[in-house]
Amino acid sequence: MMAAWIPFLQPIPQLVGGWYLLCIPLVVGVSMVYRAIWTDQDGPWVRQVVAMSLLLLAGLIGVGVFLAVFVQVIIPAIG
Amino acid sequence: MTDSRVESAPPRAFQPLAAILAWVAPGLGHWFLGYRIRSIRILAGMAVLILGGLLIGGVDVVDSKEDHLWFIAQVSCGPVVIAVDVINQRYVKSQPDTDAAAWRSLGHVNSVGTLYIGLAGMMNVVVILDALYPRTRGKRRNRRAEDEQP
Repeated sequence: MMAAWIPFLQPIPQLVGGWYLLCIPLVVGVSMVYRAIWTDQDGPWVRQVVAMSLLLLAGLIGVGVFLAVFVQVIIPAIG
Repeated sequence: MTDSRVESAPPRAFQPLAAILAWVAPGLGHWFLGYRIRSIRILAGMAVLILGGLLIGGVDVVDSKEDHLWFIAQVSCGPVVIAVDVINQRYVKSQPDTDAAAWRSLGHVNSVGTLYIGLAGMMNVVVILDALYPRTRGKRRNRRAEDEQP
């Protein structure tokens, strides 16, 4: 299966289980572009990218935890 | 002229050519304005998003017919997305279902790949606007400095 895979043309195989981990390169890419715009050219771009990536990841995890608690605990308690 | 000199003396306020170049290739508008380091950083970030999306979901993540609204966001990345859509429509979608199975992404793989390139398009809108009005950054920095003064 892997030998027949053509990168960038065909979907990556056997990635169904860990799809949520793909948010990590996503937030890194968004942070790279955003900090490229708002950081001075001689500024600490890499450090700011790392900081913003961690902040976005923490936000995503926080939203995930909140929604999980809301759906698994609060809604059953109400209804 | 060094990059720091260019940074301290931003070009004039309205740059439509830079905005067009920023759409043609992410980062090219800032390169045109003289922000060389910034343009390379923008290109690197956009490459992570665009190539990441294609690596995850293949060319099926850009689909102007079945994912029309997503395509509107994605097309802000520039002609590369249009080229991917042409490949998808002409060579992948035209295959019979038995042959096309390996080319079509499903479920989370398709969603995440589509999201990658959709977010890349939306980020490039920010880049295009920044290339269109390059002095905004300097004004904002000056405004911040004024705010911080007692």
